[in-house]
Amino acid sequence: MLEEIISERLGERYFKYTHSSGVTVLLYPMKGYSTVTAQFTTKFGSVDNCASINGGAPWNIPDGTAHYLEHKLFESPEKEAFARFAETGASCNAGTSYDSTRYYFSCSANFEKNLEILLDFVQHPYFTPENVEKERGIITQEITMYLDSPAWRVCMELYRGMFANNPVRNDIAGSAESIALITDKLLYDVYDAFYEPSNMYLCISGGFDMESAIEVCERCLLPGKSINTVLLPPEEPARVITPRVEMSMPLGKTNFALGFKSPAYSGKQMTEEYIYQTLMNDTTVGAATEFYRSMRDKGLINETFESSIMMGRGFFVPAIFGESDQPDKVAQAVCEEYRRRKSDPPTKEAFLRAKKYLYGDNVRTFNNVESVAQNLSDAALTDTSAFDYAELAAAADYEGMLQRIENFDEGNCCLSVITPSEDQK
Amino acid sequence: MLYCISCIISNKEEMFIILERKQLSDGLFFSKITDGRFKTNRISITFYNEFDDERRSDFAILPYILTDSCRRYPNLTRLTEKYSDLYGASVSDNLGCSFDRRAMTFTISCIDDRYTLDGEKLEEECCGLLLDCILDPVTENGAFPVETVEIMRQELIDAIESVKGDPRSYAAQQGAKAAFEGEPAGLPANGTVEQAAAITPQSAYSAYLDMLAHSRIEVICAGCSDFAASERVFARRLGELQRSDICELKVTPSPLKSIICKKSEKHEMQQAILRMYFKAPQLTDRYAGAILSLILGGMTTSRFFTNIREKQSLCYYCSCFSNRFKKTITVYSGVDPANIAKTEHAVMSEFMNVCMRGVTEEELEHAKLEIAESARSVYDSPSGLSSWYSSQILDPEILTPEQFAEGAQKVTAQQVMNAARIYALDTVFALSPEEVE
Repeated sequence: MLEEIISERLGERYFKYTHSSGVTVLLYPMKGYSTVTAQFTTKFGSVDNCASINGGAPWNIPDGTAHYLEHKLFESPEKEAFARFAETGASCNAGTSYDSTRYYFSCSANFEKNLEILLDFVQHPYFTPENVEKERGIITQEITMYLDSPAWRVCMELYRGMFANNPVRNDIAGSAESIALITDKLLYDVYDAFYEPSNMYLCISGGFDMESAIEVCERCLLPGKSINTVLLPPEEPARVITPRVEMSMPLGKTNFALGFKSPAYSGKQMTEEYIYQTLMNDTTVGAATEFYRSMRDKGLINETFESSIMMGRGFFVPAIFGESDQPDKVAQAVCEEYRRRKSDPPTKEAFLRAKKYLYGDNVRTFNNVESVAQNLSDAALTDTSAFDYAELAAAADYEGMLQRIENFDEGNCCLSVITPSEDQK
Repeated sequence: MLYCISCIISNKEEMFIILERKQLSDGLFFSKITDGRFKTNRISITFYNEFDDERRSDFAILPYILTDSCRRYPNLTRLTEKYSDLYGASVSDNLGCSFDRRAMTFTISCIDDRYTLDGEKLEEECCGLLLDCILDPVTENGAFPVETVEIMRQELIDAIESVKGDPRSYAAQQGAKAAFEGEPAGLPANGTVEQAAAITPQSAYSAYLDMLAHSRIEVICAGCSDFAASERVFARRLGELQRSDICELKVTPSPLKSIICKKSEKHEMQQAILRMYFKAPQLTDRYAGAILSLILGGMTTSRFFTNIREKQSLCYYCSCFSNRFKKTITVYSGVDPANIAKTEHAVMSEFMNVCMRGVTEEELEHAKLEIAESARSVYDSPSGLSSWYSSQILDPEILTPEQFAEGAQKVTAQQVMNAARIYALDTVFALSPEEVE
């Protein structure tokens, strides 16, 4: 049965239903838009590396398996998915994150046909020893490419400094060693365990006809094998492992990331915490603060300085990124500023401005077909509504932010530093 | 008013888009695209001027200074507070080379008044703020403040040096230097560390005054508003400028070198990057050129993807893009250092294959579908519409996305083969890890 989800504030609505197979379907028609985006998502990402199947013993899955599977799912005994989409003109791709894998297409014609192809290739894996082997070189090159990215490395090293056991500390694509363990048999086993329909979400946004979409879903979504998969995430200590990690790379200027280890959240609480902690960051060390201006005027930071929150299933990390010749001094100043704000909090006016900024940013995402599909998928993965963010942002109050500032544990942090290698200095 | 066109560019069911383009004064053009579906309004202003080598950094520091403050909001704290009041409508900038000229763009994007929490009117205020930043900066003694220039100079130097930390950007920069030697497209827009270090408050201010006085100015508004208020504000405030010797926009195809330029550099990195530049200064068939580039390396079923990545597993990515003004196709690939030569050879083989044997009807059909898809998607964002029309400001006839797609539909396999035969390899640039020979 279709459930209608409405936002009077945004003048928007979408529809949700659970298909008999167990797949959750979210339909967001956007009047007048030419393009349609559909994302078929499984709640299986790189952090899901240990599980019990039908009550069995813990099963350890090699790092990088979710990503490897994503690459291989495009294969077919006949025509591979890319070639099939090329015949309809749609563009398609996929992506693996820490906690999900998404397959998607965008098109402005032949929507029903494209949806059929998407549902077909994701539900019909075809792995052989040969095609799995062929991919190893390509994925090794992909892993290597990220090793050359300072932005990626500073973040990965930060996670390694913060987390003892949480698999977020491992590269999404794994390593050359871990992917060497991946076989066609393993991919089939993993597929059966994690691509169970009840673990999957189909999100469609843009200019499409609802009835046609439902008709294709009814015809093409298949029942699963009713495998009971229980994730077994490792225990993670509350404190960071080490306060500082450092490496060097060819760079013009030292890059740094300062991450604060926080409890993980789920559902609507994760959205709410994201909003309040972003408001806290914006009013404490954000670009509109005297702190930021003073640090920039002193030449300690430059325009790359920014705060953000990295989050997903099992992790929530408020962090500061930037470039500086004195990253330790910056980290110390940031921590001191968080501490100072407990007794001298940001003003209510600063809070209201930051709130408008945050709310405006979210409204913008409903301008675009792809970002609406992304909002739907994000909401589905956290069992929330795509409109919760705007509502929670509009309802955020000053006291709530002060409470986060009071409770913020600025001492539980790790500084990741990448310095220019010798020949770059 | 010197020039005005107004047309409905789409009036399909539930889709009503109006394009209006006017010349407000010598060298000042105002375009607006109105579509009620959107929730935001996007206003951008681009200054085009001569891309002289020596003053690159003097111009490049301007976006840093102009988006940092203005007289009404005299420091970044006050300006950022104002951005927040406007629901995050910050002024962003972009500096690059377009139409063989320096193109400095300032953009502001705001949510529509319908969605504000307290009924605020944002569009006119955003337009005013954008112009405050550009036209009314903080000055002292007839130049930019010394302290501001010192800070921003260091930030510009940081930005120039940071390219080294991103091998893909660095390879693109060094490859372009070799491929477009002596042309504006070969010059990094930020200039060099030495040029940046020599910036003074006076030299930057002089560049600023030149920008205001001599640039060709293009304002493009796209969104759900009718932009009547913005047009009035732009006409009044930009009309007050004293302007002369307006920069003329023209673009020439990149000349083909008589001998293929091959350059390589060592860099501390793990994956090698190969860039190859093909040129066709005589190419006149715009549609065939676009389709050729898609078939070679612009689609997921392209020859580079299918044959070089998937079949030969030589690289993680191998793609290409074309530039219709410079008449070039640029190939870029991330490869195992041991496979650089093999990949270069494979790219050449694919190119030669099209020259000798042409393309299949299936490939042609896929490329046409891709173009039709891209054309329709232009309508779904203010930035897409804005980019589409800003790329055509020099064209004698402005095409809607559908008109371009219709032109591409008529291309034959023979035309694509003919286009491929005009292209020739001009430059090969390889960036590879230090330990591999």
